[in-house]
Amino acid sequence: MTVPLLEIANLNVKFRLGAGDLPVSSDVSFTLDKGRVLGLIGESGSGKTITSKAILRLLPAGGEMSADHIRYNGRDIAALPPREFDRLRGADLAMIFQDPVGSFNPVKTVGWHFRKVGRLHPGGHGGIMADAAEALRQVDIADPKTTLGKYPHQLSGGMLQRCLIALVMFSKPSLIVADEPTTNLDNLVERQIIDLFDKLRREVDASFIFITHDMTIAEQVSDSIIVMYAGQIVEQGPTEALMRDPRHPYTQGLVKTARELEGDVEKLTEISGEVGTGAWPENRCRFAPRCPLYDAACDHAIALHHVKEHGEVRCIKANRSEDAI
Amino acid sequence: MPSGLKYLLTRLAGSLVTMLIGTMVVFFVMKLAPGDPALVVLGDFATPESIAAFNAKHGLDAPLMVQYLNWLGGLARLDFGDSLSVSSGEDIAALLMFRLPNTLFIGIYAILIAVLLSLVLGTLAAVNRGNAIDTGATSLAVLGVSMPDFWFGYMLILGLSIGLGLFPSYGFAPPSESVLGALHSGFLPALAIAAPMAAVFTRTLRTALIENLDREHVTVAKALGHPPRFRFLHHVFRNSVIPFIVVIGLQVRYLLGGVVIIERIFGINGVGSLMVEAAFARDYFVVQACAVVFLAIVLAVNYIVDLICIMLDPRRAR
Repeated sequence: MTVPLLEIANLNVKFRLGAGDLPVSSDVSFTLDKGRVLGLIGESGSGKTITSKAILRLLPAGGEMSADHIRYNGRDIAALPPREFDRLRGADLAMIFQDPVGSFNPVKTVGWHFRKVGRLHPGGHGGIMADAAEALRQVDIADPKTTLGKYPHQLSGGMLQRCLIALVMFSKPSLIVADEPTTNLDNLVERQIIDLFDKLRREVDASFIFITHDMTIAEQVSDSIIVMYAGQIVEQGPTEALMRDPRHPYTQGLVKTARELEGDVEKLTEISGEVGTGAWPENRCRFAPRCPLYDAACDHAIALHHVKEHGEVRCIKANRSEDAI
Repeated sequence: MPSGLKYLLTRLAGSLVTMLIGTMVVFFVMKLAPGDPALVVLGDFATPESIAAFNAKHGLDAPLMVQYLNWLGGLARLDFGDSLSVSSGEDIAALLMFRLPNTLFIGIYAILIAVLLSLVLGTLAAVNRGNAIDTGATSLAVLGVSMPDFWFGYMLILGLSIGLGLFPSYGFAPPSESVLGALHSGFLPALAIAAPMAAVFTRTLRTALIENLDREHVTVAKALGHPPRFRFLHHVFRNSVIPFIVVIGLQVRYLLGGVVIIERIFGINGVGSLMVEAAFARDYFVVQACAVVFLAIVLAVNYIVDLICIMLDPRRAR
């Protein structure tokens, strides 16, 4: 059996505040194989972005990360000294951010960004700018030479997101985190970028963690899916199984809404309430306030448990007789 | 960059219009000032005949608008007329040519000191945001703006000149004679003018750096593997230079105000002290000329600042 690209065990992130610590993500564990795409889904505040930023050590000031281990190609990088970890960024681990416009330095041309990344991570074949033009062609930019000479404000959001994707992949990282890369784009452009990802994941020798709040996007681009709620993984498994037979009430809600969006319904099903922030009670399921299945049996900390040929679910109501191992 | 060129030409035309309006203000305000140039020159023994003769000679008997246009025509040929009293009969252009290098030297010297001080303090404060170094640098900046420059000038004389004997307390060796001597004798006046400017520059740079430190593209650069030094220079500092230079341009007008006072205190033969002497001697023509020179300096500096900003920030060239 080959070593997975990424293995994470019990990743916790908290923020230091004046009054005390605010946990934002707890006991996140998952594995990602080489060449695979993992969809990380959840609503705002569920901890999906923070979890990914923690892996790349890009947490904003005050954020603290701890983990039993984070193995990258079998090597534990959780305790790597900062200088050594810095060398992993770009070359091995990379991230595509939500806002393509803000991701570029506004006073520098697109070409400048490629030139600097090319110098930092040498190893192309045709000279940096020729390689950059080729990279832009790969993300379906028709006129790479002109685009490289443009300033960010002269390009549309969709064009910039293509440029950013090409820029991040320019240094040939093996793991790319894409943090809601289409959130700030209009629907048509979103479609194009998603199709681009679908194309790239087949062409490029890299693994992706694709963060989104849109179940249909996660279904299209990912091999497996993790659903996060209130800082915890509530369900994970292969995309096909999870979409066909979601077990956690929260996932069921998400899948139902996604299916309704595909069809033509008068009114969408709504998961009532909203995700809280801050200190969740330890003696109760975190989804309890919004859960249709909630009863007194849910008043204790709920652990993830394995479901055969499916994955893991954090719900005591999700067990079925046929799951018994 | 044709759009940038177009902007620069439009901006140049704007500056010329401002200059024109400025000359009107200078001319007509001076006309409103009490007194009569003829009486200044002819004194108490002036007769109506001699006054009429004087006014005819200097074109002062013509209608105001004609007088203004004559004066403006002179300005265009750099002919400011002759001094009435402060240096009687001397060509004002020659007087300015002698004084202007000293003022420019002190002004540029002060800007350089202020820029150097603020680069160090502003960067230290921003990088150490929130801790003791930041507080120290910020407090120094508050102190800098709070001190009146004439008071600080006297304090410098007391401490560094009379107390420690490091610098001369009065007089200035012109740069045309000795650049080193000018740097030495001009240090205290330049520092007195620089202190409040350095404070404003420091705060501007600190704010700009902190704002840019939090920009998404800095995190993106980190995710791409760029080291801290690169991120600071090319993503944080590079972008903060733009507001920094804008503020330097804006401060030049206050700098000239400071020059007038500081040149008097330290006995520097510059345009500022000339203006004050001319005002005391009721030398209307020299005061007018000095005001026009200051106006031209401010407009020229602002134009150059615009030019630099366009080069540094492509978004401005629209």
